[in-house]
Amino acid sequence: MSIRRANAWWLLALIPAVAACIIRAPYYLVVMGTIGIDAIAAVGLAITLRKAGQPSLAQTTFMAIGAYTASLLELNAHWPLAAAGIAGIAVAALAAWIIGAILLNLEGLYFALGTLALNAAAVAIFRNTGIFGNDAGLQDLSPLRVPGLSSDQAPTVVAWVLAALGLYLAVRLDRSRFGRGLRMLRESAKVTQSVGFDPASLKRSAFTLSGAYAGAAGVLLTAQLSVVNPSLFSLGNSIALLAMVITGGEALLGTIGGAIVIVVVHELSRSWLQYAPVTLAGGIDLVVNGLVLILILRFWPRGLTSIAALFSRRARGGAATATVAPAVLDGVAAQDAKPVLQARDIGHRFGGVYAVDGASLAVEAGQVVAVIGPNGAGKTTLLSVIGGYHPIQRGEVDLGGAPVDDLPPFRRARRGIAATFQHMEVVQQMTVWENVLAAGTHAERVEPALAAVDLLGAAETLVSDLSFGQQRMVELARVLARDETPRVLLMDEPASGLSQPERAVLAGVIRRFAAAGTAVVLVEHDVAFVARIADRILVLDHGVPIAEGEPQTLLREQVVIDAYLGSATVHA
Amino acid sequence: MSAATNEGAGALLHVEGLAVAYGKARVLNDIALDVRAGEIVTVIGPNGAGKTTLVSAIAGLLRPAAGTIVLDGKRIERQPAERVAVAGVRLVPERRHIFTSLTVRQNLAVGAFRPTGGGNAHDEIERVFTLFPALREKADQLGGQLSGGQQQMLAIGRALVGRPRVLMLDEPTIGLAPQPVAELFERVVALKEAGLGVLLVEQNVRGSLAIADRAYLLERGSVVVSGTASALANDERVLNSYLGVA
Amino acid sequence: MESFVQYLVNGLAVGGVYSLIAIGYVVVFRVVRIVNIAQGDLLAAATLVFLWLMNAQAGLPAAIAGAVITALIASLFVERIAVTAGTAYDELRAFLLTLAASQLIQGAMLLLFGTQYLTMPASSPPIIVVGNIHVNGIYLLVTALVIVALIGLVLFLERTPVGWAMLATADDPLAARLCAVPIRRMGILAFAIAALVAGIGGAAYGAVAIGSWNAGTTLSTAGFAAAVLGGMTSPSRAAIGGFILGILQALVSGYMASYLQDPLTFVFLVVVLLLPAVARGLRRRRPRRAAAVAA
Repeated sequence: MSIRRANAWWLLALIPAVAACIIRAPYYLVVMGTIGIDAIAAVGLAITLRKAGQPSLAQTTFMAIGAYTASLLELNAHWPLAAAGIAGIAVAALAAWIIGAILLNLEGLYFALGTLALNAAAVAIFRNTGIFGNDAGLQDLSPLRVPGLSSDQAPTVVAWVLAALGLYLAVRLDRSRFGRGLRMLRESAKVTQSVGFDPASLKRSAFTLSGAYAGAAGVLLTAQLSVVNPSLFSLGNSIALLAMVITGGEALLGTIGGAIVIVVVHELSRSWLQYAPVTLAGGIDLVVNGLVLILILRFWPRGLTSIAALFSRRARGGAATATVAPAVLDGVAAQDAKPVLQARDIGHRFGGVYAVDGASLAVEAGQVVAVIGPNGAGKTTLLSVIGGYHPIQRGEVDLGGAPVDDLPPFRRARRGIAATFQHMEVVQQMTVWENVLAAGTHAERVEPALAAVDLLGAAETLVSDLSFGQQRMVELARVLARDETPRVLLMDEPASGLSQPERAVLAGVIRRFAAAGTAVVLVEHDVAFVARIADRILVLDHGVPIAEGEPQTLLREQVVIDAYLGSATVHA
Repeated sequence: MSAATNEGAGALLHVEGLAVAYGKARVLNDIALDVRAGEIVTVIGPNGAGKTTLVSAIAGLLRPAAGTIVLDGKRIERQPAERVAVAGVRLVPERRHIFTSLTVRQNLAVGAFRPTGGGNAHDEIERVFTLFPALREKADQLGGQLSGGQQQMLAIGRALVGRPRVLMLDEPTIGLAPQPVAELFERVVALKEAGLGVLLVEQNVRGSLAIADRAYLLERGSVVVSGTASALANDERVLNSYLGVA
Repeated sequence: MESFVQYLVNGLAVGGVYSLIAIGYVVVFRVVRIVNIAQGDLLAAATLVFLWLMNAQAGLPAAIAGAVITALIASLFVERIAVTAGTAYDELRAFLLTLAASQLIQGAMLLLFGTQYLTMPASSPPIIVVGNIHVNGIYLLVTALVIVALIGLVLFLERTPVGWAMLATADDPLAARLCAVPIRRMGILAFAIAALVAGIGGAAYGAVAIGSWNAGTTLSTAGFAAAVLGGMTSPSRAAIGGFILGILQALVSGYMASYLQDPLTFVFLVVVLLLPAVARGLRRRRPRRAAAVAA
């Protein structure tokens, strides 16, 4: 039994397809067809922008690649429209895959600018190359025919059927492990890696997929217009697609709504200004796109999705309250007696200053080792080096006797190093359920994990609506729900900001991991908490290990007290 | 004028009922604190106790959820940081925040961009050079090229050229070797003797208690102990607060 | 040889215009951490107004003033739209807001001036003859203008207290606030300076090129590529980047085809954006550990 219900909202996108079978007026059919085509391209863009956080301004370029490929195959090789169309989609996806390999190395707005320059470059090439028909483009393409439908109806109906299909696929994808990985990636590459995803491959897959959607939209556009020319694929049109996605907000169905809003506003504003010269229509579209983007980004950042949220919040009222047994960890497979995790002589510096200088750590299965020390002692840096979030500069890290120094964090995660972070890394715009499920593949593990941290009742709540302490609990549940019990768990300041009852839950979870055979490394500034739970404590000061031992004896050592309170060698 | 002013009579900086929240989480609760002219007041407490939050709120970087902050009879708790600085409270932030692409002299000139009560930038900079002669030697070097101790002097100098009434120092000794720490504390004492009110947030508990007149121990967002610095230096609760075992 | 020199001079003039856009990016980016993609559109709008006034016989001073005022209005409009309380935390959102503003500016230009191209009114340009090489004097004038603007800007930033306060805001906004520097006003000043260089650049561009409503996109990308070459923080290195790109483009359009300018900008941009990442990747490689633990 899953808390998640099947969601059939995507079926709404079939309504225009049915309507187009009845409507006869060419103008309305063309406008509806345009919306359907734009919706397909925009849903593709939403996958890469909303889900993976990669703002592409080259969506029309991939439309163009699909459109020109299909048209050239049709005109020169006389392929039937369907075959040429599929080839167009494939070539667009391939182009996205190749270009993605280069441009996806860029982050955020640099990626956006790279795609913007790509768009300008592509338009210049299409305009000036004979094979693409220069400015005039390619003409006399055969129109799309569907038995029983008029030549005006056919492209519109096909566009909306495909839009519904595309929406369905995208929604399914969004719910899959891949989709959760993408949404995680948008908020934090660190978390994404900590649960074993390869960020580069996620981004590239999403970008390729959005290229395929664009290719499909491009092919449909040629089928609707019977011509293809460079001005269809201008930067302005890419930005119109962007405006649709942003107007739509987080939900994919919202993107379809965004397409409707943008195209309808374009049409209305043009008809209000019907006496203006035709050439000015483009200017009006640009002004509309700009205004809509500004209004949404400034005043309504959640867009149309916030309307949908009103309904779903009401539906959430009856959250599951069934009693579920708290998680039982499988236990780590029997290991050799030697330490599971061994870090030797770790040195790490930022600029010229050593944050960690010569720290070593050996943790056996089932042991809890705490790293403490005053502010700026290098505790977090040490954890980051062990997890792979800082590339290693000096020293060695072994997991189960094998070196892992050269592995990126996601590969270390796959080998059994789990982590929770100091600046809590949970995905704010995902539900508690989704956050936790992203850690693994077994949905049945989620509920016991949530039960273990007292969050079962909040499974369907957005993480951003939780209290700080509860968000920390989500992070814990995410580690509990992993497919395999981690061999090593790195925890950075897990108790900070927690109430006393929450600290008790945290202590219980840590003990449970230790009992299951996980080697736990705990960085924590609450020394009293550490003293209760750690088997051994390592004290760092200015990056250098100054003491190590069992809590009761260690905390009374003068060197530790001096590290915390400083020395009074001041002549005042 | 509010009653707060009268209660804080004698205090240059008077904080009462101060609370700060990040979202739903309260990080400071009902803080009351005074700084008089010519005294060093230190705020100590373990990591995460809310010390930086406290000075950030006084400096106007954070908007308090409740409470009043009065400087010399004027309420400043609703003022943004730029105005608080002009009013006469200057914060030297943790990790110094030197302008690395500006020279030492330019760093100081920015500090004197809008001095409290007006004043000549050149004269103020000369005064700081007299106080910290090492800075005069490096006047035309980039701020980023100074040693840690010199950067801390520069950060303090950059606040002083604004002619503040109250100087707040957040963890000024972090990352410094023992010698510069001793030097720095000496200068802070000199500033106090010149009539400045100093609010010192420190991790070096023993060092700061040695130079301070009064002290507040902060724990989880609340003041748990306050009194004269010498009283706190011998208080078991201080060690307990840091290490959980006394 | 003659054509090479001619291309070089063309490249210097156009490159000079790119430099001015790049400087605009750098000044705004440093102070408010926004990549203002409308920077090229400010210049394109200034160009159109400049050429329109020149064709209306308004005279050179009035035309330049018109160009600067146009850029100023447009730039402060972009500032109002893009700079919000959350700017520092969401640079992508701020970027998208400037992109929206750029669409508004382009749309407004299209509605005001239509799709026509504007050029300088016909008159014989002063030709400088050296041997058998003929060089259009306006091109040299434009290059000189860019250099003067650049020197003026650098002097302002490095020699005046307000310039230092701007640089301080750029370095560390938090510390600047603690020093009583009004950082919002510094941001507005940055946009105004960007507008001033865009206005001058618009007049310069009008003198050597064609004005059209949609020239802004090409100019924005080219100027951004130049600014990135300067690390987004150094006005003088950004200016050098502009000249390099301008000369490369002039050579490519002279010896190959003029439409390859935009593809060249794309390649140039990708190369300068990815170079640091590639270099970092190379540096990060460290010698593998000798035959993993003998035991």
